[in-house]
Amino acid sequence: MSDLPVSLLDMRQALSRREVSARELLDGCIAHITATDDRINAFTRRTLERAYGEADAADAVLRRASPEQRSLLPPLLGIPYAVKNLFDVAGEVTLAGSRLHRSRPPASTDAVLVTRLRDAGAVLVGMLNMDEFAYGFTTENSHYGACHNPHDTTRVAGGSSGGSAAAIAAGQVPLTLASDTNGSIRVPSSLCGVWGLKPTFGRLSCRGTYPFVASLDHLGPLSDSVEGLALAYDALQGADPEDPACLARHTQPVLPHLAVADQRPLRVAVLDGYFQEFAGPAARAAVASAAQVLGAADAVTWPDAAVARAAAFIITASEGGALHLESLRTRRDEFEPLSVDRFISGVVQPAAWSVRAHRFRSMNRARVLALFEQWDVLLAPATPVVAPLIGSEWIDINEQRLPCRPSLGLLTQPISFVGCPVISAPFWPSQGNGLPMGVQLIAAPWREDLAFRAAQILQLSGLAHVNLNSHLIEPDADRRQQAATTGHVTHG
Amino acid sequence: MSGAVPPVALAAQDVRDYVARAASVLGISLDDAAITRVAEHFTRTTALARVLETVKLNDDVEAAAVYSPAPFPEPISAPRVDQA
Repeated sequence: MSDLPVSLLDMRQALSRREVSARELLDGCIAHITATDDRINAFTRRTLERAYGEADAADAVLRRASPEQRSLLPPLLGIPYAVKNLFDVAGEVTLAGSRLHRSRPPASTDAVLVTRLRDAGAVLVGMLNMDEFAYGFTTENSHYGACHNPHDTTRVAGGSSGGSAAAIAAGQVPLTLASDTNGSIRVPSSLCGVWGLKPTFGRLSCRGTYPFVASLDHLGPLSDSVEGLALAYDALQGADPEDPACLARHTQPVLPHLAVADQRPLRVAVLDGYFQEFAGPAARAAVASAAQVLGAADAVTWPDAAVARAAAFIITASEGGALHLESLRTRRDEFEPLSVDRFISGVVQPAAWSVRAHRFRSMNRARVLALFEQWDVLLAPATPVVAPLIGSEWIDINEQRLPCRPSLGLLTQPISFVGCPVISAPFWPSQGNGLPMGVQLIAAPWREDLAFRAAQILQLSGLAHVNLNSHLIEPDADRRQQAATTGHVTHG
Repeated sequence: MSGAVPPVALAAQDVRDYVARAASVLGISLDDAAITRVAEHFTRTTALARVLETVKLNDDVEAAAVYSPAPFPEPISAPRVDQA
């Protein structure tokens, strides 16, 4: 295999020009997964028969299209992607990272978002590792093995969507789908250095995915560029009358916003207080870089951030535990050892705590919305620290010792609690010693377009980018580094 | 914002007793080791519940049963109901 494009945009261009076929791209993709996944453990299942069927169908469309018609082809035609293994895929068991689900029947149909990517021409390569039932921030899954960070395989990939971020960072696929209840897209995006979008709560249909905390669950894409993220996000949008939690009534594409020049300057500020208290040196440096590029000179305070985090934690424990009550009674020994006690703790919580948390959420939402009357985008670190070592029990943040697994979501939980859309932008501060750090680009509900505009500015600055050149992934890292600087990355 | 007074700190044995009895009510039987582990998590959650209780909530603040982050913006071209 040689000279096959790796990035989503390069793949798209090469396919459009008929320089490569979707089947050839898929061959390269599978070969790369085979060569790397014993070190990364991003995939729990490969869907090769389906993938080749979808790739051949894409090639048939490409062959029939005249050069004039190629700009009108489905937006992700022939692009390989993979999904967190809580998405239903027809004919496959939806594991949700659990051993308990192995005996379940295969899904009869695809999840809505998988159907939408299929309609957009994308090629499903497989299903990805995650924390059991999405309850975790590290993807140290005892049943399927820990997912390793491609930039340092002794470190966690983040979670709960660790496989979804690691697969992109390792150059295995340029696009994945994942879920985010308290930070499960943003935390692994930060620790693996990829672009991730948690859309507005209720924006995308959740039908056909295994839930964690229905009142907080979001789904979204991760990709290797802002444009890749936007192409996927636009393809995923649409109303779903059969999902009562899908509040979107029509699509609001973001790609047109990225193409328009001379737009009104963005009003950007940095979140202070709580978001600095729990930010280590690399996190602070990444936000400072983003603020400089975006001209963010002012600091603002997110209302009651610590309370919002506490409330999100309490709702999560209660709803998550209640969902699994029957299994906790009868099959407790089959649960993930790292999370089963937290599930039980949640299920025995006083109901008064959860009710109060929901009532607070209602009040907190109103105060957060008021912030966005003055600001378009707010900045905060996505994680307190860069990726910890696998097995870490504690992390130190500004002289505070905190439990590692729940604390990686300290900075994401208050934001998703009120449903704001967030893009995690990958930065590479020197304080990270080669490891990435995500910056959250937070916008008002239903204003993903503003977060995308900020992301595009950061990408154009050259400071926020995916780095597929880790020597841990490819033996010929030097060549990949050289290719990356010319904007064309190829597999060796 | 300050409001309700947080409850007093719970003794470790009280937490263990609560966890064991609440689990029993729900049909979950726990051995001593499991009670200890769950009680550690429960104690951590108790501290967060105290943070939550520092906020004053008026009685008319309702739980968001079907949560909507903000009104969904309708397209400018959408017909009004009385015109449809």
